[in-house]
Amino acid sequence: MLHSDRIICRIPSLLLFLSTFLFLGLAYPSHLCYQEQYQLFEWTWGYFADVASVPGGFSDWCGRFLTQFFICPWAGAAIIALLLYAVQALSFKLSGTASLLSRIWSLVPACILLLFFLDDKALVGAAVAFVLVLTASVAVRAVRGKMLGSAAYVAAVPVLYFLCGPLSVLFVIAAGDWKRIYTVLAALLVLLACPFASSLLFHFPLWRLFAGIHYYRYQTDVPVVLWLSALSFVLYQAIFSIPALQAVKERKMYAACAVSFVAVVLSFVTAVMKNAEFSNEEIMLCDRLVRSEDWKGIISRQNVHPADKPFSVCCLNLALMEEGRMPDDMFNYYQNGIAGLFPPFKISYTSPIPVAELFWRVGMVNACQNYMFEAQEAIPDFQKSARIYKRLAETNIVNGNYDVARRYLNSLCNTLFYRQWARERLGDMDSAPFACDYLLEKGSIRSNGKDYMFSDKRIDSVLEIILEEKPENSRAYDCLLAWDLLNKDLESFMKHFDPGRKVPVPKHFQEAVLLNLISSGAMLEDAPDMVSEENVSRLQSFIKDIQARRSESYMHKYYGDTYWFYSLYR
Amino acid sequence: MRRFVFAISALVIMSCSGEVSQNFGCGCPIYPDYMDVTVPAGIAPLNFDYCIPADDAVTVFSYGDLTYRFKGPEIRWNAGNWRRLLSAATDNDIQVTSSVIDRSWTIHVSGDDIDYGLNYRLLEPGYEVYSKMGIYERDLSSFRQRTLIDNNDFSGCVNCHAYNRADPSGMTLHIRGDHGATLLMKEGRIEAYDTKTDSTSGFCVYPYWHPSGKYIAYSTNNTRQSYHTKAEKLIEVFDLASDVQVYDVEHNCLILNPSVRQKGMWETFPVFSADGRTLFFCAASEKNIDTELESVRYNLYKVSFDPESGTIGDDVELVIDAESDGKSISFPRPSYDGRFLVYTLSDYGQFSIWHHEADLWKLDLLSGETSPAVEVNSGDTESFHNFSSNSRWMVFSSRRDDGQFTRLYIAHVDENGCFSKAFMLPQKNPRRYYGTLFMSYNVPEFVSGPVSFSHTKAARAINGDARIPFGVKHE
Repeated sequence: MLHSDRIICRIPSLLLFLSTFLFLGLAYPSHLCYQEQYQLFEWTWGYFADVASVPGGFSDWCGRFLTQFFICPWAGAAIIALLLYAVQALSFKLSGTASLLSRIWSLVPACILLLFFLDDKALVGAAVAFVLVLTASVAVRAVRGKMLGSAAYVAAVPVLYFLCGPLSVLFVIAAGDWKRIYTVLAALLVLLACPFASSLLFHFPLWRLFAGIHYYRYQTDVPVVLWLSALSFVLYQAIFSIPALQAVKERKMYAACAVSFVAVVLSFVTAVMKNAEFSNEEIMLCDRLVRSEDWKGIISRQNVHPADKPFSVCCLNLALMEEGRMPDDMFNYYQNGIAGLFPPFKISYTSPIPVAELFWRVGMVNACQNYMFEAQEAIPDFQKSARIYKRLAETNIVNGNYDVARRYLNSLCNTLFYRQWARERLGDMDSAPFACDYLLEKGSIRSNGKDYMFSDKRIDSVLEIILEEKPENSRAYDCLLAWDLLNKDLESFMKHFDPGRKVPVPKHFQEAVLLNLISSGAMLEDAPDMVSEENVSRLQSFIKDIQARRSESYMHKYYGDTYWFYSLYR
Repeated sequence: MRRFVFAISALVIMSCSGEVSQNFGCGCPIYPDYMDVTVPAGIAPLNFDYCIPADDAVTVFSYGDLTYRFKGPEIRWNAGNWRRLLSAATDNDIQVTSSVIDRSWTIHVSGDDIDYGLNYRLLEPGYEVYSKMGIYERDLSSFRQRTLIDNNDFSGCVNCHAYNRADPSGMTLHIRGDHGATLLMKEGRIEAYDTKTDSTSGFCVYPYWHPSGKYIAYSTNNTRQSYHTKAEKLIEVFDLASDVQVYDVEHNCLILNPSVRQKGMWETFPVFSADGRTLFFCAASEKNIDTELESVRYNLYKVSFDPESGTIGDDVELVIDAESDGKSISFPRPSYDGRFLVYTLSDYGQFSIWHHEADLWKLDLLSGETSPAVEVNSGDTESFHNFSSNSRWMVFSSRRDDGQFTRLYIAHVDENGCFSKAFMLPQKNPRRYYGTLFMSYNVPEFVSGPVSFSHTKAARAINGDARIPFGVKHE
């Protein structure tokens, strides 16, 4: 093959690598961080033994090992791109062909695997298993000697099943010598026996032992797209083993390559765009920004992607609270009632997290602990979360449960990326006096005098109690008044409102005071001094426009940033 | 990029470092605290770790001519040596000395047999959502633990399980979730029952077998969970209603009697006496949970039961009036020799597992005297407990390690009801095992032999739709 031909032949592989890398890095970075967030990879023998001791556990462990680097999204993009590149390269090698056409069609299994990874429930261990079984196929094919080769082939099946799970079926197909069909049948029988034997040893339903235990985060679902990828590999191997395909004339071959390349690329670009979960990416980005405490980043995203779901509205309100802008700006943005401030608890491993962050910052430490703990318990494949462990360590430190905090910190000490942080906290705990200032602040604002049972329907009562004990807790104050405003409960608002607390009085508080004034039948001229003239005249215009029966869109255009608009139209 | 480079460097460094494991701030210089404990001759080796600097420690175990020396901070027994030492020292004391502790201690080897093993639930001590959990069996003579069933087998929560006096051939197991059912295992057969009836307020929850095996006492509980805001308290589990009933296994019907289903009363935790002629249970006056949670206090009652006719009597009698002392009773468990009843005493409520003040108390069933089991209690929660089939050993759960994760302890009980100091369930590498175990032990039960339980059959029964409905017999 000419040097230029060799370069041309490598173009599809390079394109696959680069496009996957750039797509994941640019369009899917939060999905990658999300994957990392819901695991706690401990570099210990105990963790390895725990994960790797089930069928497919070794590839799962390798996948988890790689996933920890997804904390840096570009590293995650590179890892997945490399895995897909390996799948493509190994598929091509196993086809035993050298043509450009074959190389183009060898993209298909890898591309379908990319579609699999568009799903946030897909686990990296699946791609690792794919690569491992194909690598094993290449290795076993290289074993010389008919008897030795056949023996190695059949003997490798249960080992691979244990290491990589049921994707080992690809090994049986790719590494088998089909001229000696009995060895392939023997290997297939061994493979079929593996899930049955495993069901006696391991506590998994038989169907999961056939479909794969750790390829997909949801235990009740079969990873269909992954198995489509496996099927495409089988079809690719079958089609390119047809001798006629290898004898195509050169001119026809170029035409076939061009058509194939366009077909493969177009199909997969279309499929990726159709299946990519960009709306989830936006939500995951909100969560990522909360995690990194990039409050300004969350607020600035509103110009591009306004928050419209309870999750993202909660993240926005949290950011506004942290920036001290909640009483002035919260109605500049879409609000969906108290569900956007304190969304009710839902069994999920994502939605309780921003609420827990809000509780943490307000001083409701036990509520934060509850939500964080429950989120972690809800992770469907029973993994733990390093992010949640960090917060649970902190809540336990604030609560004085140092032995429990040490448990979490010790586990984090066994990780790559959280080790330093955990060691610092352990050092803080061991120092006398206790040296963790930011946690002392949480400890000082948490309510500790009056005990009460928490209820997410009575958060206002909880905030009242916190404020009774710690009047200086400005976040609790802002949240309590925001609760009243979002509930359109002006009576409670006026009860909780302290005009002297924030001077000048924040915009939305002024708006609520004015609304309360006119609701009680008083005249706007009687507005108290704390209300600006601008707000008074704006309310006068608002009332005039209401009386003029202006449309909602008109009112939204001119008054959408006011509490009055929220109060009347939301 | 720097972070990535750091990660790679850290990977290299960590590959050379050992695991970080918990060093509990125990007052005792060794973990677990095996000083001056009483153990059965068949127990697994009491491996332990020093909690103090002990790199050069020399620890010597001796009895008669037998002497075993260990160097260093980790005491790890060879199983054969341990067995030899225990069989030689049965009914006597093993002397233990250490070069880094200025006192020697003993391990008393009791001649009283202990059952084959323990069954327990392991789960994370959480709120309402559950991650991995299951029922496990531990062979007490070794470190071997096997899974009987876990929620990989099905989607749901494995709940209360009970055997009849450690007999592994019969079990009741409650499953919660979408596939909710009560499993009854009788002579190897597993059947799924729907225990909710039109005449009762919910599913059967807390079970206790009648010694004849013909009946199971159950409570029906409308349970809720919430949590406190004070740092020192965490979770509160309470009932909004509860009743007691007896299930007739042979005739598949619930025996309902108004004496244990009184209006204005919450009856729960039923247990049969050793002779099967008395039904003990806890009961409290109904209260408004929102405002009076901390004044819900359970007393111990008893009522007669006629096993021949399967009849619950009307002669409800107060056994211990805990309420008047400002306390509450939960989890009564009579010893199988009929001499004692051990219960948990806490400040209020019925779910003492989350109460740090909860302690075990003993009631002498002959004299009626009750007193705290001071030998086994600690400054933290002691709660759910069960007797071995010969009543000479008691297993109980305690949060004494760190206040959050329950661990199992076993204490010897002599004929007079005197407890020895309890020892923690032995593990091969106890500090690492317990330090990295984020699960709590729950509902420990002795079993006299390995439980023959097919998880595939159980999973099939749970995942299937077929449920045998409980019949009802009103009295």
